[in-house]
Amino acid sequence: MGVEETVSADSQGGVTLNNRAAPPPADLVDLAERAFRTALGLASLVAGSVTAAVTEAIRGEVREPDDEPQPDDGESWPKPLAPILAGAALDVAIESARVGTRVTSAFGRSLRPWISFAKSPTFVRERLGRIRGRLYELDDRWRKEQQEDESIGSSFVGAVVPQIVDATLDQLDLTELVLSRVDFERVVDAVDLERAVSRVDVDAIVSGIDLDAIVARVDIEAIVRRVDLAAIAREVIDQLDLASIAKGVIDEIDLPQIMRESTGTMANETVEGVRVQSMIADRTVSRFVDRLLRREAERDESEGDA
Amino acid sequence: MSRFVADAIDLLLVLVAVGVAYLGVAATDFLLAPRRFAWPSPGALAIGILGWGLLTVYLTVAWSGTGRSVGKQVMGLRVERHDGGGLRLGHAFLRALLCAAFPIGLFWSLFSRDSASIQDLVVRTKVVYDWQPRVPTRPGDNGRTAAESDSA
Repeated sequence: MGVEETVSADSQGGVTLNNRAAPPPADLVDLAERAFRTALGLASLVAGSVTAAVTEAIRGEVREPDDEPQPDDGESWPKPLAPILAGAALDVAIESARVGTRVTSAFGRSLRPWISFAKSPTFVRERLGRIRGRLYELDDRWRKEQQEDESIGSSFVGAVVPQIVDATLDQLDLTELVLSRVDFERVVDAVDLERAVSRVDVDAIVSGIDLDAIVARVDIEAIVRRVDLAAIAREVIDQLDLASIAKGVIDEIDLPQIMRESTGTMANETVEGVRVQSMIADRTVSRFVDRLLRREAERDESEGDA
Repeated sequence: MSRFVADAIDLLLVLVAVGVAYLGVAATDFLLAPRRFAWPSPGALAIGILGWGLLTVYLTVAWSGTGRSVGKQVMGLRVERHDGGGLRLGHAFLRALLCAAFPIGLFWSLFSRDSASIQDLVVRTKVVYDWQPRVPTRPGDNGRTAAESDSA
């Protein structure tokens, strides 16, 4: 039926709206039946919720949202009498309404030829025409006032609904609802984190950090002590090709040249040593001889005669 | 003292040269007639003349060139004319001759006031020190002379 298409009950008994419009009613009778059943459904939902609330208040039990009472069947919880009676009464009402509408529609269908026959004579048609005109006038007048009526109604709703919502929300633990019903994963997935992060000014954050103070708190001595420098050095040495490095160094510094120079220097120094010694010996001998010969005059050594 | 060491060195050099000459002769002998080889025995006179000749020639060349023989080079000495100039060839030859013939004369330098030997007095030469102590200023230097080094 049309009602099931627009509104459906899901597995937990909650009501979800489907985004599909109902097809236009086949005829007035169907519309009437549909409207009646909608009203009945709503009434039963309300009744069920109220009954459950009352029962809870009486018993003081904690109920989970999953345990909302199914309309008219009361399967999920023990059966107090009042809801059963109410449910039975409602069902009877629905059935009788359904039967009633069917009878009425059948009767109406059967009456139709008679009605059309009754409408055929002219005076009847005139009468009916006048009545129709009057109806149209009334309808027009209603339609003109409809806008105003609707605006009055909507402003009333606008005034009342926030208060109702407030009162409702006061009764609810919204946080608990959100936590239990909102799929945060999907929410987070929908958020563009890259854009959010790109708006963060990391520079400002970092410039606010006092890195000096942080580093000052680091005990560098302890860190260095923990470093096994010997092992590191050993590893480094193992890695190095010391032979080729040494060869390279030797090639660069021209060791033979150094050896030559040092040898030459050594030779020079030896020779100089000998010369100095012999000079000293010369002087000694000449002084000795002078003393021996009792020469007072000093030898002329300014030119360094040997 | 340094003179004597220098002369001793020169003498030693000449003796070695004589020895080498002797060996050379012996080797040539051997090469020419190996089966009849016998060490040559030229006699003392021959050797003496050879040595003396070598000495003279050697000293002449040395003194006329740089004024230094090898021995004098080692001891940092030099032979100069009395006025300070170098020896000419003839001059050097004369001096060499006298030194080779009359070595005793060299000892006069001990007593001489000018440290001159007889030969020096005869040919009017003198022997002087001719070296600067080399002062090594930095490691790796060859050692520069005192005049060249820039630090005391």
